[in-house]
Amino acid sequence: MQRLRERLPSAAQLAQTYAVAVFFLYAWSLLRFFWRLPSFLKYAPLGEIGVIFAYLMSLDLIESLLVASAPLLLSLALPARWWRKNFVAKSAALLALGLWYLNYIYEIIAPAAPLPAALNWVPLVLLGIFAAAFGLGEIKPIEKILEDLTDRLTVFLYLSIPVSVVSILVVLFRNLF
Amino acid sequence: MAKLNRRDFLKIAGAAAPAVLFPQAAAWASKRAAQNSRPNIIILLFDAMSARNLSLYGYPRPTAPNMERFAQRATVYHSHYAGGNFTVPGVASLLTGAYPWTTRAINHSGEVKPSMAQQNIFRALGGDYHRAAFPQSVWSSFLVYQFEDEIETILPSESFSKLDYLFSEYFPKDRNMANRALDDFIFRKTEKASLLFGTAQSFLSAKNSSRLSNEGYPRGLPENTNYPLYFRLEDVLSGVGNSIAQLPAPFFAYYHLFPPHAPYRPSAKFNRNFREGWKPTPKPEHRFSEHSPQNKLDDARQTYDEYIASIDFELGKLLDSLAQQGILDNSYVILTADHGEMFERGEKAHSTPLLFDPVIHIPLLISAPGQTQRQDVYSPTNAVDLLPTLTGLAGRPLPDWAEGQPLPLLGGAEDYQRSAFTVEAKLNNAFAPLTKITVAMRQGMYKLIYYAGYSSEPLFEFFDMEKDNEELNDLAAQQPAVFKQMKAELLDRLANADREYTK
Repeated sequence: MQRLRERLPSAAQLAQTYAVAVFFLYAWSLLRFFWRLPSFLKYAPLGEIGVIFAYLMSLDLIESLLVASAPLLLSLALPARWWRKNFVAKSAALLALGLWYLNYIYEIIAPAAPLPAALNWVPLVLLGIFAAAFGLGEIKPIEKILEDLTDRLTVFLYLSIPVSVVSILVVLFRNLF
Repeated sequence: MAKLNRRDFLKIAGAAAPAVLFPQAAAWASKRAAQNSRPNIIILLFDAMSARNLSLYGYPRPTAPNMERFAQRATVYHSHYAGGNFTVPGVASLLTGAYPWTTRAINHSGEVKPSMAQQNIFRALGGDYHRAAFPQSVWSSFLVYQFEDEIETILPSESFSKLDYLFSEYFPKDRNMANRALDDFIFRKTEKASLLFGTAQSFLSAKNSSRLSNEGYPRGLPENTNYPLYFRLEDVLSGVGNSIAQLPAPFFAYYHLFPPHAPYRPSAKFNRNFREGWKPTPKPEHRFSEHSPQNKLDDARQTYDEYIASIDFELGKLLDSLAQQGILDNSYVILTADHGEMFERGEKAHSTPLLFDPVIHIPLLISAPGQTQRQDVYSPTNAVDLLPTLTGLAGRPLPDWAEGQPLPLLGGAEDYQRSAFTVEAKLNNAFAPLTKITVAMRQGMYKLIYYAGYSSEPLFEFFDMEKDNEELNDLAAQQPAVFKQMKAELLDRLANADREYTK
């Protein structure tokens, strides 16, 4: 138990890591929402557009929590000097590289076509991303940059968390009553 | 008036005896008997099925022998038009009895304007009917779920499919909005709004759809265009048959079947059947077309025709099964489409401003209970006519908001003077005047097409459909009086439809 506690990052560090996931995932969704918004406005009342947005934000909250749990699990699973040390920098690098790779996978999977052969490399690429994140987190200047960046990204949490919580309540209300 | 069969007669006779002693019970019994004497109504709607590609309507390829067989016991409408040129306006016109410029269901993923949500065929037929719907097309499901309060049984889009990744089924209490948010936006086949779950869905869909057996479908299993939903024609048509058999009478059942909408996936039995070298009448490329090369259009047409033949084959089995079960003896069975498909003038499919007949001339066959003789109607009719026709057949009053009129031989008379419209306005705001629009107007033998917003000046095209069925000779200069009268009426109707939105 004591060992797990030693590996557990602080709340502030978790928030910084979570902010990275929020930044990438919410940005992806919002970009698509605003791209589609002119079309929504052509036929849907504002209330309906609001509900569509609520579903989107609810899903983003779940997604971001899931994604942010990956570095946390790594921290709990690995010896403290491996991941807990420089947790924010390593996690930020891991999430940024991982989500960039996810973006690449998204692009190469075509609807109704066989899976591309590039997916065979996924385990190796993930291992590479892990190693890169570990290495980057150990380089002092990069660690400092990543720490500062993630610290600034936490400002998005003040917006994303309340909006997502309200969104989840909207979705729950519509589906329970 | 529906004929009484032996069973109905015995019910009424049985109810009459205790009427003297138990008047309330007798009233209840006679109401039940009256309800049971109402005919069932079954609409089988095929998405993107053009009448111009059916042998039933004179197409040279034998695409629809089973429809031709069914026509021997049905009324065949030869000049039946869709209300719109794609699913949303086409279906909305049929289900509301009003034109797209009135319903404002004009956009992709659009819906009927909120103030008209209570004005639909399910409500018009009333609760005496068990009302059921199967919107296999997801766009059609937007409209069906908009009317869900009036429908007792809804078979979701994924019913009878082999594989689907639609998520709205997990939100039964908020199906319509979940449909719009999840299936039509966040998890749409392209441009997914969720990076993690969207990629996971693409991965699983690609992995599992490639594992599905394509047996019997050399070009791959039939699938939905914009949504991950795969099916086999035989499963869907037999599933429809089974579901009809289970509905409590009297019922009204609306089945919107996705085929033959693209992608065209003919079964092995019909794949490459129409490579005989036949070519359609050459037509000049239209200035508002996509300018697709004719050889590509001919190829697409061949596959489309083969897909129609595959569907017709399965439809034949379904209709035989309904006949064997006696369902045709007490049901109106309606075969129709929401819009057509075109492969000419440089344009493919139906999402086009061009409202030539291949896109808007749709089949309509109606078999009345026990009908044994074929009847033919040649006067122009429109999808908006189905609602007033069916309410009349069900003994319900004609709703005052219906813009159509009862179909000839089913409560109405042939009317060559009435005007019927097809509206394409998908690029407009539904709650504003329609400025970029195509309207096709049919009146008797004449057809007028009006294009506004596509070029600096509005464009009119005017045809005599009896003498020039292929719409090749613009007659505006030769028939100025008729042209002028139709043009004035069309513009007046459009201005009326926009009045609510004009400041």
